[in-house]
Amino acid sequence: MNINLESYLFSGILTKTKYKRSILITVFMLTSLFRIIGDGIVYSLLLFDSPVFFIWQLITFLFLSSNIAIYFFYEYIDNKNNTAKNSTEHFIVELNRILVFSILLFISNLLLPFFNNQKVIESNIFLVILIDFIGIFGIYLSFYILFFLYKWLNIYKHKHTKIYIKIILSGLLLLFLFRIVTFHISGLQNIHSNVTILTSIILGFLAFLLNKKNTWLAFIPREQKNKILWFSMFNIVISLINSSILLDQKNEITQTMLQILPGLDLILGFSFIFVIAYFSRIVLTLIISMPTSSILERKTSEISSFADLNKYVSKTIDFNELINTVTRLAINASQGVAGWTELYTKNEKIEIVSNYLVKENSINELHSNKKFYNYVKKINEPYLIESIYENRELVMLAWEQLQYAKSLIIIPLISNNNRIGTLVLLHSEEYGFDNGTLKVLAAFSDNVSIAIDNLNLMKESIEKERYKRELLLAREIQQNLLPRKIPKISNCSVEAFSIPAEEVGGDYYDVIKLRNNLYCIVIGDVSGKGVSAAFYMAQLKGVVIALSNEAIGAADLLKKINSTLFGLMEKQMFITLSALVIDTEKQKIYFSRAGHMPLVMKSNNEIKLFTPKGIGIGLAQSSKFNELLEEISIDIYPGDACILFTDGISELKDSSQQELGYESMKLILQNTVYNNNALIINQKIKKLIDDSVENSAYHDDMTIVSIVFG
Amino acid sequence: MSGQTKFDIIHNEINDIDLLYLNGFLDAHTAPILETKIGDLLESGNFKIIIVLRDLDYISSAGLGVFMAFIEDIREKGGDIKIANMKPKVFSVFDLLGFPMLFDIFDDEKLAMEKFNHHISDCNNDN
Repeated sequence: MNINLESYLFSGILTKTKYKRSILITVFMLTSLFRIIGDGIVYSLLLFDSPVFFIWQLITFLFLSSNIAIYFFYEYIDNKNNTAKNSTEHFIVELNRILVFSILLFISNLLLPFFNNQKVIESNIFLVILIDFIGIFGIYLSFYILFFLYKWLNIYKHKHTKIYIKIILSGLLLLFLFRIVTFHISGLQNIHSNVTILTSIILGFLAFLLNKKNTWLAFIPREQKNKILWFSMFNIVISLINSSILLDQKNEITQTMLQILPGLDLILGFSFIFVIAYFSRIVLTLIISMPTSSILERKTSEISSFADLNKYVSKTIDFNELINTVTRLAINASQGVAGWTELYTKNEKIEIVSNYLVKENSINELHSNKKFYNYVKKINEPYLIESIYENRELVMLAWEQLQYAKSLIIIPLISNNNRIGTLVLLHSEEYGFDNGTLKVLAAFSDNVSIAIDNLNLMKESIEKERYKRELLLAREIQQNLLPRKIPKISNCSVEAFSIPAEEVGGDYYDVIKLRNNLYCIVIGDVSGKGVSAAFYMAQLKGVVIALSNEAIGAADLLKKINSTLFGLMEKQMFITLSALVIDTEKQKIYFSRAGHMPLVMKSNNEIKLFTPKGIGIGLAQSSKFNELLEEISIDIYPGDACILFTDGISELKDSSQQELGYESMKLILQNTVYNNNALIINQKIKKLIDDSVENSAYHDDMTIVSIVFG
Repeated sequence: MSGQTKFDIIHNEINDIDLLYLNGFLDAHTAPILETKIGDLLESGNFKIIIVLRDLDYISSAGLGVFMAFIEDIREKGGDIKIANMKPKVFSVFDLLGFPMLFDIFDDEKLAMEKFNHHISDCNNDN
């Protein structure tokens, strides 16, 4: 019912007016004025007992009440999402106001008995006006209380809150109607008071039940708890007095008020009953939670330190900042007096990285012999030393500069399963630390290890990114070591490509001119893969270019290269190299092979494999190398073609996991219609690679140089 | 550890000759194992080594590099690394590179052992 009313009014016309508050206040003022003037008229006409007067009183009373009620209602909706108005501080402010207003009402009620006489009332207009003011103030106070309770019961509501509120409001409404109907029937006064008492007990009890969710009281600071406790108790006392005055029909004060404002006793009286019910529960909760409140406070501070640490775990990217924070938070969480964090370097040196309320010199003094370090190193989990003096090993150490330290906690710091340091917490009292704290610190130190590990991982990750970028840069540079454009050799089509297995590789090819002005195609493969092979490849290129001017043939070039490189290479490194010299005039090619793949050739429509003798570069010194190297000459006819390749291609696997070997290339040469265009051969080979690369988990660098003789 | 990088060595000593039976795949990952083994043999003064490749399925340039790394030292000290019993695919790798012209390669380890003994008797005869 209430929610619907709220939403109805919220979307209603009145909420759209910015000046609704001003309108309400104005209406209220006017009505009050109207009422007072009216009473004045009644007084002068001596019409106190007439039914007209009663109706007049009732209507103006209802009007004023509704006005105030609507005003409070809009205040409630406006401030629903206002965190300042819903804070515990504001609760105390409102609680205070209720207390002050109730006391004011009580005082004003005390004044009335002096004017208890009907005659006095009838003879003194100012009294009438005074009672009017008191009454209006009473209406204001009732609604202030009722909305206070409604607001706070809704903030801390439970599943029965709505129903109980509905019941209470219905009960009040019924009682009010009952009252109006029976007011002037004198015989029913007794029943009336019994009904009122019964209703107040039932509704009061419901109000007590309404205030169930009080756990928030346990978590507020001690000062606030005290304030709430005392103000609540005073409120209960004053409300007891006020409600018993108001609900006692026989009471003269009440009688007087009823003459002027019928129904006020109900609304105000029940407000006070609800105040009693509500605040008794609050007082009860506070008193019960008192003994454990200090423990609770400590637990809360432990948990908030822990929560702070967790925030830092994800945010901090600076190791020193992390360690400083961890030290500080650990001291807070354990309610220690001072502490420090020390880190251990690889050669067992101790570095004090963060110290709070303890001097570095004092700590170094403690570490002056290795004994503290040895003691601490053996501890694998947070460990509490209740009393330094009672600990045989520790008492003998140099505590002179740390005389205030009576007990301590040792927390090992571990990263990647290595002991990287220790966090030491000091207390100025023996048995000063709480045993329960150790459990929290154990979880705490686990989180610290995770935080440190995360930092290291992040550092590694950043490094990795840097390496990746460097490698990509290296790849670009290596691409430039291969021919950007192959020079045009007359009557030949020469096309090539090279695919490294990783970012950089060890394959090499080049087209150079020898001393005798003939073009020579070189292809080679440095043993291994990756960065180290790439370095040798770069060196190889330099050597090849430098020697090309000196060499007079394929074998000659290879011999010179081996002679230059043999002593320069590591023992387990070697390079396989082939050189193919093209003499278009003589229609011959000269081929020499230093441990490299054979030459696959289509010669006069016949597929042939040429494997002249030769050992790899870097395997033997010149005498042996030169002796073992063979050079062959092959006649070429138009339409012939050949492929120079590295073993990355021949080692590719087919779908049945068999190595391709040379067969696939032989087939390509045999079946491809290449029309004097080596590019067509390369396209076929690229397709072969694409089809085969998925068949193996890894592959080597791959290079192809295809030549078609026109 | 996938099947591709499985590799191990069985070591046998007959007279003063060390026989190393290689099993599996000799590539960049597993080459250090062979390297360590031969290094250890050298340190303990054993210079007569026969490497039996009967159960070796694959060799890469890294594996070949291991042979090259020690051969000069071993021959300087009067010893040798002889190779025996290769699978055809493995032999083709050695052959292309020209290893048969640098190393003694035999079909059988017994022949390799005989070569070591002949060498000794040759040396003795020379004296």
